[in-house]
Amino acid sequence: MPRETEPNNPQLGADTEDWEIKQVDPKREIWRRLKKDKMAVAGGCILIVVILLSLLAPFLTGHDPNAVVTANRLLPPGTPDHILGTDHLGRDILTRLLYGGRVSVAVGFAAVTIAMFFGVLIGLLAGYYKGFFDVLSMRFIDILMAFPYVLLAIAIIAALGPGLLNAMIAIAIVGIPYYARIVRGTVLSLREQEYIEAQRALGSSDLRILFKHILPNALSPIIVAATLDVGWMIIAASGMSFLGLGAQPPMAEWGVMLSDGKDFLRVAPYISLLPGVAIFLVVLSFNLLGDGLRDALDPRLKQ
Amino acid sequence: MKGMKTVKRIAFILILGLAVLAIAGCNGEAVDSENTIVIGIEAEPTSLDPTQIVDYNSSRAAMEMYDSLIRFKDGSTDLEPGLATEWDVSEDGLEYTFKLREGVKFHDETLFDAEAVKFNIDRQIDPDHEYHDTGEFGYADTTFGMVEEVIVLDENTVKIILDEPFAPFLGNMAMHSASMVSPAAIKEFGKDISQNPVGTGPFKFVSWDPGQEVILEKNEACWRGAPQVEKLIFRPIKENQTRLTELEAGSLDFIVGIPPDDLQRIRDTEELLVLEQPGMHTWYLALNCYRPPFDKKEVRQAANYAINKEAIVNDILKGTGIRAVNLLPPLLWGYTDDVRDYSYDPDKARELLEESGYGEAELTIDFHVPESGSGMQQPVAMATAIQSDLEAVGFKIKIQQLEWGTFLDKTEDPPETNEFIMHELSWMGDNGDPDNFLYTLLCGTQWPPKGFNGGFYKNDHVDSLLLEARKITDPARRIELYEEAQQLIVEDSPLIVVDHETQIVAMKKKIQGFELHPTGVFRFDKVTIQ
Repeated sequence: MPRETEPNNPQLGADTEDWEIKQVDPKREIWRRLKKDKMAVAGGCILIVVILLSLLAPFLTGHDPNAVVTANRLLPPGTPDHILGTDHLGRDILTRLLYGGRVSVAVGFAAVTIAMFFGVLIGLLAGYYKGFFDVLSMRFIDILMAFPYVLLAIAIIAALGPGLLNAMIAIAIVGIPYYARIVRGTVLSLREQEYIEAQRALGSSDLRILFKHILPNALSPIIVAATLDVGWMIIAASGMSFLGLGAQPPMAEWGVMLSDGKDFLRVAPYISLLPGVAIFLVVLSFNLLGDGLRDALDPRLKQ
Repeated sequence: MKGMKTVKRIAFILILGLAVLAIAGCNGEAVDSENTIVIGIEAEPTSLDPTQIVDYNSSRAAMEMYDSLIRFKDGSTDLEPGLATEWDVSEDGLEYTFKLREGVKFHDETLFDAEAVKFNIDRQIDPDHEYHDTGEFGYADTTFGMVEEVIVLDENTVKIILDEPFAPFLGNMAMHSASMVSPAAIKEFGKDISQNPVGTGPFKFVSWDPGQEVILEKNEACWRGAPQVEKLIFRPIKENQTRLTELEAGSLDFIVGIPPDDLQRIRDTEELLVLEQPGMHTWYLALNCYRPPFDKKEVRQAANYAINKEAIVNDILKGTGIRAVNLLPPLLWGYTDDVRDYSYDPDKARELLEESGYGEAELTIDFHVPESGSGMQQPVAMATAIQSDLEAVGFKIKIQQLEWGTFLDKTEDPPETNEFIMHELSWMGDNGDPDNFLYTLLCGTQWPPKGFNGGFYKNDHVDSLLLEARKITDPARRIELYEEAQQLIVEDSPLIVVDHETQIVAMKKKIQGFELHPTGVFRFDKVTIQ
């Protein structure tokens, strides 16, 4: 799906003066369009709140997320001092949710960053140089994509050993093809553009062309993809933890909390329900924000 | 017009929905025939060949199909005649002669005789036996390790010669691993015998659909008399909550592994019956005595004092087990509670840790935990509580969860390569003899990969007591030896025992006459359905 980015392209609409004034600051234009999208704004607000809450967790609650007090187990939500109740080991659920938010969001961002870095690098080189490297890397990417992604992640964790870090690496590896594909497609069309040819004629090095001219123009699909992907990565990481392959007890992590509660669905459904709602909200927010960003960065897609 | 269309559409959706419901409904009741019991077990059986079975999910499904020469009586570990009608032990305790029941046939119509007994024992212990390679016999050494030779005297008499006296041998002859499998079937199926079981028991094999169910039907020709129940269906369901829901919904008739927090509700349910009875079970932490920090007795004792076992039993397990002070379950003879008392005492734990001289580097430990497993109760919740207690006194504990099969394999690694410094495990008694706990789990000769002493405990004095106790037959003297051994062991604290689980099963009230057995294996042969 080759795309061009409009806001950075000065040739479009160059003959009307009005248009030229708006073109002065493309970032502002994107921000203006994003602001108009109510859903995206809502998503963004929720995310800011979640991130603030989890960063400030130690100041918001007096409990230790891992303190086991078996005498206080399975207290229902609404109990004084435990607003959202306690889990099967007497740990405060609100505290664990807040600390768990740190882990989940951090893992989501980190995994996306890793996947994006390698994916973009492979995509850039494959799209720009074509030829043997392109064939080799794209077949490798095809192989990665041919595996069901959860199975592949589980296989990687089986090789590395369970743990939050390894789960993050595994889902990041699984995420690489997504970026490599997007970037390669964009680069394939960009490299044929006149301004790139002009650079080549001027004698610019490949490195300069790739990172100074092609990458900035390929940026908006990457940003959109990454925003949508953070949500997916959070779900994948929680899924791995739910299966016992990711975060290990007693770490407060939403997937672990979900799994902790599954034996108590009848007597204390909130143990699983609350982290489930938290995951749902955060992932939904990332998706709303991602959709909004896509529309803002590339308004033509909306039609 | 538009209104009409909407109505039609809604009607269509409703009909579709009803059809789906009807199909789903049929599916759920497909097996609800009158004389069938559907049993929910905790995991897929690994094998239906009794000589290869090492876990309860397999033995519970398989043992309905088999008999051994000697049987445990209903409800106890006392012995009664099985496929042997009488037996005789020589003065020196080395020769056992069994007179076999005549005219008993395997499910494949072949005759059970002395040759079959010899075949079944030799297959497990003789590496040169033609059919030794048809399986892996995890219990062979425990059950028949002391057997020197099996001699067929005549068609219905067999003599077993031991290389040294072994007190619990008759009990071993009643263990699941001593069950008689049809030699003809082993010859026919080879390695596949574990999927094509043929025994002499009250039920015979119909089918095994992996991941779905094992189906057995009644053996009309059983020498003990045909059972009342026509069919037994064993379904592996891993999630405790799911299994319970299926019992309540009616698609299962009988389940194990009821979550403690739901137990009271089930007890109060009109149409369900809950049976509870102490079992021969112990849940423990194994500490690796071969390596720091648990090579020092002080550190092992400190860990033992640090853990609040009382709280685990009362709060997490909700009293579905009793607090353990000793590896032996209290209902086993030879048990003593006159041992060092490790009641919760974090201050004492801190003192002992300081004495040991180990610092943070040594006290940082990986704690290996299975996600689930037979007899493991609530492995992760219990591990998390233990971790929290240990950290409170100065340990640094990192929990590592492993899948049950992988976990069990790793406990069997030899000391040099064994990566487990601390792991949790449980043991269920097989033959009603203290030897089956103390010697098997703690004797210095039983280090993995040969035996089950996964903490690599070795105390020469304890070893001499345990080795002597298994050779003599005088019960009073054996009790003395075991009591002394238990005191020494608890003092050394190679294992931290937490609880003895109560056996709990829940069933529909239509099942009548079911009794739990201390060995944990089920017996449906005398059960009737109302």
